[in-house]
Amino acid sequence: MSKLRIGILSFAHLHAYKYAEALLKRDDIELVGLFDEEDQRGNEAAAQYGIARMTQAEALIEQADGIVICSESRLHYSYAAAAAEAGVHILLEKPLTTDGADGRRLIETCKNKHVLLQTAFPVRLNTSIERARQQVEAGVIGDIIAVSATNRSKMPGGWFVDEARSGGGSVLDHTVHVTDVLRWMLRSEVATVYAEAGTMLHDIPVEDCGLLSMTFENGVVATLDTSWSRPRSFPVWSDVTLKLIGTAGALHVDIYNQSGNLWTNDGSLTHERIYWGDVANEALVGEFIASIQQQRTPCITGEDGLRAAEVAWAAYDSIRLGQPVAVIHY
Amino acid sequence: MLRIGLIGAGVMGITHSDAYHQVAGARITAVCSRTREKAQPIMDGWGAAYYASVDEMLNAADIDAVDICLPTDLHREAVVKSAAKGKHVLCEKPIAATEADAEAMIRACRQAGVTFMVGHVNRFNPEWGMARSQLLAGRLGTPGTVRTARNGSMPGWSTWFHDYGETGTLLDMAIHDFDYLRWCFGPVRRVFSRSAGSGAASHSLTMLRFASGVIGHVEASWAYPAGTPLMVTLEIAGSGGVLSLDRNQSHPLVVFGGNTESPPIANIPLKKNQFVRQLEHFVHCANCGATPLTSGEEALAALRISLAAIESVRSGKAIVLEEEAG
Repeated sequence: MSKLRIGILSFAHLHAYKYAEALLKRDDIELVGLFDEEDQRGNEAAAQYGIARMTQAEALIEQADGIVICSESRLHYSYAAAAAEAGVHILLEKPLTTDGADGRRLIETCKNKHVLLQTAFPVRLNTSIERARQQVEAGVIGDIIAVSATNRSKMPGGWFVDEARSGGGSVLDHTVHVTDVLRWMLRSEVATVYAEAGTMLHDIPVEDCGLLSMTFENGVVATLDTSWSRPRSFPVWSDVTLKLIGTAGALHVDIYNQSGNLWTNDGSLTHERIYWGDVANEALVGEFIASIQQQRTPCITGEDGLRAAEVAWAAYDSIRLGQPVAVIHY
Repeated sequence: MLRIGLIGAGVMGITHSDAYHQVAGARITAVCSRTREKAQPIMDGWGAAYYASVDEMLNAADIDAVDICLPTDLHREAVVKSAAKGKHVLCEKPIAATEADAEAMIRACRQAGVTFMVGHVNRFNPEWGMARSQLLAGRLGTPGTVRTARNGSMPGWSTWFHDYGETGTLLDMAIHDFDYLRWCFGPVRRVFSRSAGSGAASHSLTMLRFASGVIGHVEASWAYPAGTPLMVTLEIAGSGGVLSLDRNQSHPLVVFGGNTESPPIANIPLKKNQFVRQLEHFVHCANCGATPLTSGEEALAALRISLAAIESVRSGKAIVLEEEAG
């Protein structure tokens, strides 16, 4: 089999660097180049990875069998739609799109053009999460009745805090990963959402604190903290924690609690936690490549991306109304 | 010397009795319990008299104050009767299961001119006190979110906890945190809560929006399997930093083997644990007439948050609380 030609479309989202590193470790693909809207960022990334920088997104799409899109969220749709029209497979950073109708249209286009569309939900491929799901499936904790979850990080700044470019603040940024994992574990869709949000911690124009309460169609209740509330000295960038409460037991997951402690003489009274577990971004990229090679649907689809984004959009509706709302499916 | 009549000889009665041994200026002189065998070890420790009923104790015992460690539904009667006899009152939390009961208890104590304090012991726990001090000292900047969890299995030492039904975790467990958080962050404006589980063995997830804008998440559970240790955590995230407490990660002393059973209420290695500090405060207030930190009014305010959470669970709606006076 000839090597798949993969391109990276924009390094606006920092995950692009993680995906680039994961792709470069593989010998079954060729990284054909990158496109970036910004000269400096694009040139630096091209130099760092020794790959070509195209000056037009179309040029990159033309040369690739598959592309990884890590642009600003508001641009997801236009880039992904262009790739889909060109018959190029897509690994798309979350959120899938910033508009429900766009998300549905993208999924349809990909279907019609026989293009594979994978949403970048690496948390689902985290080994502890996979192990937790196996235990849930095996009935170790009985039927899940309630979930308390967090997905919090430091404040990302930049275009993330500009609603016109990101589509929302911490609620949109951090609702989707855990929602995806829970939909997958519970085999059920989110039915209703209640949310509180506010800008409490940083001088930014979008919310930095968010808290969701969800009900699933199967009756499970869950809460999720989506805040950008980790201080600069916090020993990891973000957390993903789940407390799964079942009828026969409970299961706690803390995916980055697989790390060593590092203290240094740099002077600040803190330490780093250095992660040593499996790297989910490598599994994410691997699944994208494998699905193209095997011409099969990726395990995380565009539909999954849309379903998770719908929950974040419902949260914004609830915040406006001050009461729970039903999730709208596009 | 404040002479205490201890009412109730269950786990909390024993816990308070143990703590009074460290409290200067107070002694238990009477113990009231339906079952003498339960009261006996406490009576032996103090040389205290036994009474089979609250009425009997209030009529006959030489006491200045009562310490009520009864199931919640018995609080009102015991408090109102004790106040009518001029006794200072310390009552275990939650103050009551209804606002009407709590208001009647507060009224009775006020009319009798006696001290009325409720056992919201968290406020006397140095671990939680440290967190509040850091918050008030500005170390965390402006607070944005606060999360607490109080999770474990159904208390195994007494069956009456099941009588709470589905409201148990909100009325008996989360109320510790409602009280503490209100003390730290001021009045609560809006409450939204969901709960799952069977009967009292439920898992509740409550969201609080404080008038200050702070967003709170209060988790309380009796849904864990039997034998699960109580897991208590607190995390405050502010513009200047994050502070977190996790009792299960705080182990200055670990014992392996041996033949001692772990007590139902953990005895933290402190010269004066939170119960001793709480009782010292009660004795101080009873003696000088100062309003207790955890007065009946404060306990009622915490109860109102619990009741709003219960109403939210039942209605599926967010509940807006009336503005607190002052």
